[in-house]
Amino acid sequence: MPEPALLDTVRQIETPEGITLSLRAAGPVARALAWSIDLLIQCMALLALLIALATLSQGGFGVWLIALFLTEWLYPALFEVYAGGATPGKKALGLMVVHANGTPVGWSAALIRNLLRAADFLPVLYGFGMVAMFSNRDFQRLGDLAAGTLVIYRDPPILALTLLPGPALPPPSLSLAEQQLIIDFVERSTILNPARQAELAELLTGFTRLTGMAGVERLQAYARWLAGDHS
Amino acid sequence: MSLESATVALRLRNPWEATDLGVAMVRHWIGPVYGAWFTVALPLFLLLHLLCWGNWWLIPWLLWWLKPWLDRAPLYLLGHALFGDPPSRRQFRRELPRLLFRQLIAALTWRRFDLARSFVLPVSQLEGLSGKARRQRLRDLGQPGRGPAVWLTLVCANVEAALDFALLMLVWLLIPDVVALEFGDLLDDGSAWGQLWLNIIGFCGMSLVEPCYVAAGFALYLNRRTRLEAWDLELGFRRMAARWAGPGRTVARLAVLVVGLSLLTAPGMSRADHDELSLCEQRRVREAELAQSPSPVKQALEEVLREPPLQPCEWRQRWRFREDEPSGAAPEPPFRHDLLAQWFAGAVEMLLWFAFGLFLAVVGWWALRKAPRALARIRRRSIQPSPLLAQGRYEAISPPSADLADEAWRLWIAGQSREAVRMLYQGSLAGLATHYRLPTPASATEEDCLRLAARHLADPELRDFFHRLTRSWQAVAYAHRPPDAAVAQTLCQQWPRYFAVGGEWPA
Repeated sequence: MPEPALLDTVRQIETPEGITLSLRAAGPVARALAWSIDLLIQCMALLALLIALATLSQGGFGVWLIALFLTEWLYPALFEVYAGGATPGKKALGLMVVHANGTPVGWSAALIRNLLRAADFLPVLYGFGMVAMFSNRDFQRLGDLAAGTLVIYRDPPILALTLLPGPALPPPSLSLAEQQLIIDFVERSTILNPARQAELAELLTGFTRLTGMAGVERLQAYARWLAGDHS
Repeated sequence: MSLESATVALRLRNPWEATDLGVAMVRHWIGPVYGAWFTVALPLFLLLHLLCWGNWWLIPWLLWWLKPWLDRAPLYLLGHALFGDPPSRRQFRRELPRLLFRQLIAALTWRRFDLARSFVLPVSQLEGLSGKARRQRLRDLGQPGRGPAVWLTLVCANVEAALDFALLMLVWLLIPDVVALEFGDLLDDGSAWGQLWLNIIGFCGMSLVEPCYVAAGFALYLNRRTRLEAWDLELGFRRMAARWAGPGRTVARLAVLVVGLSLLTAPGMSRADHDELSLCEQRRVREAELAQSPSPVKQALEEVLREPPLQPCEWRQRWRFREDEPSGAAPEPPFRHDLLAQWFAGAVEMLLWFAFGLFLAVVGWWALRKAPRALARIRRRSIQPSPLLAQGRYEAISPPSADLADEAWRLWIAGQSREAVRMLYQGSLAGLATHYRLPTPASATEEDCLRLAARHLADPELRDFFHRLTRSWQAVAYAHRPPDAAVAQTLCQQWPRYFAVGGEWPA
C-alpha cells in the first residue's frame, strides 16, 4: 500500500551517491527571532561605536556612517560565509544558511540573499518577505529564492547513549529504523509514566511475547544490546 | 481520533519547527482554513461597523479584543483535517454555535491576556476540558510547552503590525502622486473615511496572521503531546507490529495453499467439461465449486485463491482502432437538422474558408514580393567566400596585378628601393593566397610565412624565390640595407614567373 505523503517541513535531497539528506527548513517565527537578535547586536555595536567616535566630532561621524553602511550590508553575509552559515542570532536559534542543495553558502549566494533584503523589505518592514515566506514550501524569502539558499535548522549534536545498567539481550532481526525506534523508546522513557510505557511496549507483544512492565524490561534489554552492551 | 489517520508527520520537533508546521498546515488547507476564518470574521467585522456606527476608531480595538473568539473556527477545522476528516460545510455550520459560545466569558475576560493562548486553546476546545481538569491538563503539559507559545504570540503581534504598515504603504505607493496628497490628508484629519480605511487594512493584516497563529499554537500543542505521550513511538511500534504480524499470516495461508493445490490437481475433477471455457471462466467455475463444498479445507482454499496475488485474470484497458471492433453497432442516428444550427455551421464554414483564403493570399504575396529578395540574399551569402586578410591588415586580398613587377622596377629606378621591395613582397603574399591557396594569417611574421611556404609549396624554385625575396625585404625593412641592383633586378624579373599567371579568384 503506498503511504500518502505526510505533511512536513522537511526537504529531502538525494546526493549523487544515493544518500538522502533531510533538511529541516526554518520558518518565519524562528527567523524573525533570529533577525531581532541580530538587529539588537548591530544596534548595540553601532551605539558603542558612536559613543567612542563622538570625541572626533565631524570626522568621527563620517567614520560612523561608513561603519553603519558596512554593518547594514555586510554583517549577515560575513557571518554566513565565515561562521558556518549563521549570524549570531541564527546561531542562538539553531539556524544556518545553506545552498538549496545542502552545501555551505559561498560569497555570491550570501551577498545576493543579503543585498536582496531590500526587495524583501518592500513596501516596508519586510512585507514582501513575509508573504514570500508564507507562500513558499521551504519558507524562502525573495533573497533566498534569488540566491538559491535555504535557512534550515542545524542538527543537534549527537550525544552518547545513557542507559540504565541491566541485562542485555540480542533482539530478533530488526531493520535500522526499528532498532532506532527501540533505543528511542528506552531513552525517552524518563519522561513517560510507567503506565504509558507498558501501553507502548504492549504494542509489540507479538514480538516480545510479554505484557506489562516485563515487556518494557525486555525492550530495555534489547536496547542495551543494540547500544553495544553484549555482556 | 487514531494516530494512524494523522495526515501530518508526527515526529519530535523543536518548538520553532512546530510553529513552522503550523504555517505549513495553513498553506496546505488554505481554502478550508480561510473559509472557516471568514465565515466568522467577516460578518463580525461588518456587524461591528453597524453597532459602532460613527465611533469608527473603536472597531479595531473590539476586533482585537474578540480575537480568541475568531480563533475557534480555524482551530476546529485544523483539528479535524489533521486526522483525515475535514468537516463538510454543513457539519461546520451545525457545529459553529456550540463552538463559539463554549467558555466564552472566560476566554474574553481573564484568559484574554494569557500570552500562550494559542497553545491553551486546543486544551479547552478540542479536548473539551474546563475548570479543574483543564488546569491539571495545562500543568501536565508544562512550562516547556508554554514558553515558545509566548514567543509565538509576541512575534505574531509584531508581524501583524508590520504587515499593517506594509499594506498601508503598498496602497500608498500604488496611488498616483496627485491623489496621494489628498489620501495623506484623509489619514491626517482622522476623518471617517480615513478611519474606515485603516479598519480595513487592520482587518486584512489580522486575517493574514491570525490563522497562522492559531495553527502554529496548535502545532506547538501537538508537538508537546507527541513528546510527552510518545506519539511518534506509538506509530512506529504499530508499524513494527504490523510487519511482525504480516509474515506469520502469510505462512499460515501458504500451508493451506499447498494442501489445496494437491486437491485441485486431483483426478476426481473432470477437466473435459471446461475445455472450451476461457482460463478465467474455468477458474471462476472452480472457485464456485470450492465455495459450495462442505469441506472447511476447500472453503479455506477458495478464500486463499481469491487473494489478488493468486488471481490469473486481470482487467486491462487499452486504446485500439475502431476497425478492430465488430461492426455490430447500429449507425448513429442522423443529426436532427436545426435551422439555427445549420446557419451557424454555414457561418463557421464561411469563416474558415475566408481564413484559408487569407492565408493563401499572404503566402502568395510573400512569394511574389519577399521571396526573390530573400533567396538572392541567401545565395549571395553562400557564394561569397570568407574574405582573406592581407598580412597585417584587415582588408580583403585581391590577386596581384600582372604588371606589379614592372611597377616595382620603376620604383627601384626612381630610387625608392624600400617601396619597390615592399610591393614585391606584398604582391607575393597576395599571390600565395590567391594562386597557391596559401593564405597567410594576419598575425604571421615573415618567418611564419617562410615556414608556411616551406611546408606547403611543392615547387622548390618558388620556395627559393620566396626565401630570397623575404630576406631582401627584411634587410631593407628593418636594417635599411637595400639589396644590390643586380639582386633587385633578378627579383623583379623572376616575380612574374610565379605570380603573374592570369590570376583567377579562387572559388
